[in-house]
Parts: sequence; C-alpha cells; structure tokens
Amino acid sequence: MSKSRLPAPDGLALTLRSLFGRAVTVKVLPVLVAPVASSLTASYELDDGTVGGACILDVQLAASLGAALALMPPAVAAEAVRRGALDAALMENVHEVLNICTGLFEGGDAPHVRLGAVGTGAVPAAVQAMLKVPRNTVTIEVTVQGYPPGKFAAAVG
Amino acid sequence: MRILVVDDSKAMRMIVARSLRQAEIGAFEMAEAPDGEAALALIVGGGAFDLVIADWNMPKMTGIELLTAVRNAGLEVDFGFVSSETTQEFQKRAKDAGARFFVTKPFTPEALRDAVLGGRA
Repeated sequence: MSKSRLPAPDGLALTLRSLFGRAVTVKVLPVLVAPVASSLTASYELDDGTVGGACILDVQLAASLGAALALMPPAVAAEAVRRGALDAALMENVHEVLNICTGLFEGGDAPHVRLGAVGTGAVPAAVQAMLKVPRNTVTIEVTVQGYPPGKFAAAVG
Repeated sequence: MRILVVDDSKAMRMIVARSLRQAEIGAFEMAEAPDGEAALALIVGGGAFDLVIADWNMPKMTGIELLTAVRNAGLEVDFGFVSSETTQEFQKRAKDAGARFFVTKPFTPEALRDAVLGGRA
C-alpha cells in the first residue's frame, strides 16, 4: 500500500493563501523543530484507522492560523502566544485549518486520510516514530501576512 | 434565495457567507447549522431553503448522511458540498446521492459562485 505524501512547502503556501486571501510565505528549515508542551499535534488517519501522517505547529503558528481564518486581529494571536495556549475560538479555527490541510497528505497514489486527534501535550507514539526518520519529515517556517510567523513540521509513516 | 450553510466550524460558515457576498450571486438570506442533525431539523421543519451547502465531515450526522436523509424524506432541495475531501470517490458519492456540486476547501469566491449558480435556471 502506498503511503501518505509529505506536504510540499508550495502546496502549504497555496492552501493557506487560498484560505485566508492574504499573502503567505514559506521557508524550509534544515532541522526538524522538536515539539514542546505548547505545540499542537494533529494526526491524519488512514481509512484503516492507523496514523498515516502528522503535523506539528508551534503555538505561534497555531495562533496565527486560528486568528487569520476568522479575520481576528493579530493582537489575539499575540495574546495566545503570550499565554502559551490557544483559547477555544482559536482552537476551533485552527482545527478547521488542519482539516483543510488534509489534502496536502493526499494526491497521486497516496491514500485517503482524514484528520484525527488534535491536541497539545504528549505526542502520540505513532507520530514520535515518524519524527525519527528525517527523510520522512519537513519543517517549514510560515508567515501569514499581518500575523506572527511560526513553524509547521510534518511527518509521514 | 434562501441558503442553509452547514459546517461544524463557525469560522467556515462565516467564510462561506463572506464568499457568497463577494461573489455577488444576487440577494440571498442565509441560515446556519453546526451539524447535519440540526440542519435536518431546519429543513424538514419547513425552512423552505432553495439551497443547502454542507460540509462532509461533521459530528452527529455527516453531510452525506444529511443529504440521504433529506432525499429519503422526499425533499428535492438543491444540495451542494463544500468539503476538505479531495478524492474523486467522495465527489462521485455526492453526485450519486443527488448533490449538484462539490467544491473543495479552500475555495475562491468565484469557484463558489460558479458552483452555486451553475446549472440553475
């Protein structure tokens, strides 16, 4: 069975640009950014329920994506970064952004995936295992115009 | 035109509304529902909607389950999907169940306009 596709930086930029209607720039970083307690981890599940891919957002990017989706002021994102956590509205919004990012793991002969668990704190074991294989990971610095930049890491199994 | 937008994301419901306004589809009234179950209650409760725009993956009742329930109730309301599902399989299932269009998120106002107005008399 084919595996999930590793999200392409340009594809991520295009998806976010289309979604927010504002400029988005991306830069691939040479080193995987390790998740910390405030990082948001999203698992993408194959149809058999196993984890086919994952992405990890630092709190800066999670806050910016959540705010940008609903046209919230950048100060809302900055306040979440200061607190080190997203409030319920930002969390709901970033959940939807992550849902829309599902397509980044598909395409070609890659299998269908759907957004699974999203949360902070301990990184699921299946995701930890993916992060240990550098060729199956990518880390991207993302800047959404008007909002604080942040980091997006993705991994596939 | 009366449009019911069904999506578990409040922000996405707002984006659909904004896109419909930007797309200049003409005058419309919009109602919202956060899941298929709530939408079904509005539709069978006499909402008299001209169009339902639904997400696919939602809690309680998915978009395709909503469409099936609507058709099983004998209602022929115009129906379309706006979904993050990107595969042909989902588009075929939607069409087979009676949906008129399937727009993949993210979308432009123009794409939504073309879908909403396409094929309408």
